[in-house]
Amino acid sequence: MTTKRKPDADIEPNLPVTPMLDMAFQLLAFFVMTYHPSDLEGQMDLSLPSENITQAKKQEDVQTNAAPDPNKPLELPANVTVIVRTQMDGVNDGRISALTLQDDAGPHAVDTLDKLVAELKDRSKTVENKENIKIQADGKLKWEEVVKVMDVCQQAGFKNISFVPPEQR
Amino acid sequence: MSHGGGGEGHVAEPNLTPLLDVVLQLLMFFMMCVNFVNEQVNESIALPKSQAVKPMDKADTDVLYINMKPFAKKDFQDRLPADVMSRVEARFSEGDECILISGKEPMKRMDLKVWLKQQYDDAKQLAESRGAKDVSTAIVIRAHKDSDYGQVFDILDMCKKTGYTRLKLRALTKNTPGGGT
Repeated sequence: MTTKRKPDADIEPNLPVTPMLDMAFQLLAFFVMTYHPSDLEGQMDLSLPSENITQAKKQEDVQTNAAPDPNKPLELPANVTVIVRTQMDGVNDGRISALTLQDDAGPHAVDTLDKLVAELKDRSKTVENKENIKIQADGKLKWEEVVKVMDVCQQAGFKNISFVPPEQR
Repeated sequence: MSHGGGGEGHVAEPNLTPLLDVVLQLLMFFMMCVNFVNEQVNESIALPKSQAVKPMDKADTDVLYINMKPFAKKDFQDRLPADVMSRVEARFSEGDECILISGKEPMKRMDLKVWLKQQYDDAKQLAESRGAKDVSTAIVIRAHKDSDYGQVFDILDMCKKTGYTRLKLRALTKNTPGGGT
């Protein structure tokens, strides 16, 4: 720019920009220091059967207006059950010690969770109830392990998971 | 950066405006990321990781949080007043099932049952006065990953028996960049 500077400058330095910027940097530093990226908490819904679904043995027993009986355990009708056992042996307390897949054909032992995924995917092709699955686990099994099994079931396509009461041992 | 045209003695400053815009953008970003503590969520609970969970996009308005973890004295030592602490210590031993509801002291299962019944009855009355048929309250269960399955199941069962039908479980999402397996 080669024009002469005019006596009245265009920019009036009335606004004290420097302190405002200092404050902005202070705020920025504060938020940067207090920022910690944590794992997002997510949630999954448990599916409970609606009031009108009951396990009727005969056609005549089906009641269309049945009120939920609070004392009857609400369970989804499912063909496949995953049985998870744990052993409190002092070494692997609360971890998975045995996995069994139970369906209409009978129980089938499974070694690892990965193999369980494969087996469940197989079953989901042939079984009639493709969405519902039951998990039966020992009372002393760690919750973390149950969530892993739930993951496996979801992976295999069984979206509605219901829990069977643990046996009293 | 350009230096002023020769011979004029002007000092051309770098153009500050875009730099300040970036600074303000950063500031806005970090302000938006501040997670103000949801007081009903107990931070000391380590949830298990799961792939099956979906991040919540829209929070339900009518939610009850039940936090559960094995009792550990050091979690409560600094947070509770001395008389409450001594009462709590008398009731719980290390590793016992300990149910935490915001605003209340650590509870045992029986206390939870009583409290749930009260909440349900209140909610039912409220729902009926509004003409709704059922209690639409959702219960969110946040269980520590080391809790026993039996304990969690019993809580689920208790909620079902009280009459709540909408139950949700919380876990950490597995596939976040910061998270591992």
